[in-house]
Amino acid sequence: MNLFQSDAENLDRDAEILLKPLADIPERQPERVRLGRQKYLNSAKSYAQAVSAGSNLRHTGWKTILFPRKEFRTMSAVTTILLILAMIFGGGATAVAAQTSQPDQALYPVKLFSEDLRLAFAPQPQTRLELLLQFTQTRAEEINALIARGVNIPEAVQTRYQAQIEQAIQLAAGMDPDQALKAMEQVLERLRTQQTQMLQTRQTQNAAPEDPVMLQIRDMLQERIGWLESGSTIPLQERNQQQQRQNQAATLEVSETITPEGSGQGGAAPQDQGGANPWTTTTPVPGSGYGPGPQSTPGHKGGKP
Amino acid sequence: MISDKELLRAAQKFDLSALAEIYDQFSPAIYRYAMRFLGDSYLAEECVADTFDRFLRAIKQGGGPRDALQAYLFRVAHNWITDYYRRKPLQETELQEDTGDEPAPAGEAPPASASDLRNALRFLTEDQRAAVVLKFLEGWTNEQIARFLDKPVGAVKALQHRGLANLRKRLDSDKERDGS
Repeated sequence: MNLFQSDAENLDRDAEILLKPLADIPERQPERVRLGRQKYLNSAKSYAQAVSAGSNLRHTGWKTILFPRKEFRTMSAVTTILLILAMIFGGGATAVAAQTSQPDQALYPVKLFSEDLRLAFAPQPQTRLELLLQFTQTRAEEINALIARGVNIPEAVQTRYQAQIEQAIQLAAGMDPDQALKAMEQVLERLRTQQTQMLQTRQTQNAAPEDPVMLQIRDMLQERIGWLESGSTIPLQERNQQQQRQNQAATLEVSETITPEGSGQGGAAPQDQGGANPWTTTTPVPGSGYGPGPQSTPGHKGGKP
Repeated sequence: MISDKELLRAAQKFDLSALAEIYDQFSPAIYRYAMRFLGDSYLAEECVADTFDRFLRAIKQGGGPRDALQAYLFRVAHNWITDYYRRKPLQETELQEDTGDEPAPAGEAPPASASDLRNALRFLTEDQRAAVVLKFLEGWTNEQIARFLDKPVGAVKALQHRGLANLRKRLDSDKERDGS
């Protein structure tokens, strides 16, 4: 409990120091306030004159006469059945069509859903890793396409891209020692390629102001490449532990009950369960001969929640 | 003390005293919020004026907030600021009005000037910016911010963590660049 409190206190203290220059705002000038208020009330008066009788005074009974509610219910049931049939018979075609969709298009959620499905049905760590790398490549291509079109990158794309990269790193780090090094190199190589592609796309757009989300993606990519180059997944582990503590603190706040420390309320990162894998605990250098401990399980659930 | 809901119901009937009450109650906070990002009192007043004008137009058309009046007005102001950022490229954003750039006491190195910080805030995503500023400068609770952003409280906390980390990283890299 104290740990959670001190986390929150540290955050508050950090924020206070960091944001101090913006804490004080000079007084608003009374004359400008008066003028602004007057203008607003004048607008309100003119709108008030143009407003018709309130909706409670208007006659709206014709709606129920022309379109009785029962009819709506029947129609919505028919629509639902039609939709279900369309999904059953046309679902495959939709999923195929969705594969080329972009984040700002209607079929994009179908594409993401099909990715989740493919990942869920891939039992082997190596297959999962290849799928994750393929999905990160897809995200990178989507980001490049958005940059090229001058469209802002939705934050959800960034979040998913980062989560898939981190899942791939954790998966690679959790493999058998003879496979782990190769897998980490595979991830590193893929990320470097994506970084180069993004830089090239950016160079063709050098006149446009850079999107904040893009800047964060670039930083994130650089940071993850740094982790892989140094062979350390410790920052990822620390971040996961911190997030886990936050989630537990949030749960505690809601339930207002105290859970004994170390009771592990679900969602625990694999490295917390015995800490047998030196890749994810103490060994920062790949190729140092360490592998997963006897209790570790390949294909553990990893990545960002 | 009249509640927000009652105030809103009266405002929807264009009751001028209710509309005036809304302005008096919320415009100072909207101004502060805009001022923190924009650093220019004229622009902040413009943001306030547009926010309340949009509010009037929305209720005239039968739209506008249903209950969360404060969240609605801040959302409009927040969108105004985001639109302003989009119109004005990052490199040109140095606004010279001095707001809080006080010299640091001896022996204490200030993390950044107000304009540096404002510039760094622009590198955060919209949600990170709102989550950080509303919590740590405007004093909102995480529950209020969650309603404002339409996200769970846990996600708001994560946004604050990531926002502060990104802000620090941006300020550090700016410092390094200036130092080199």
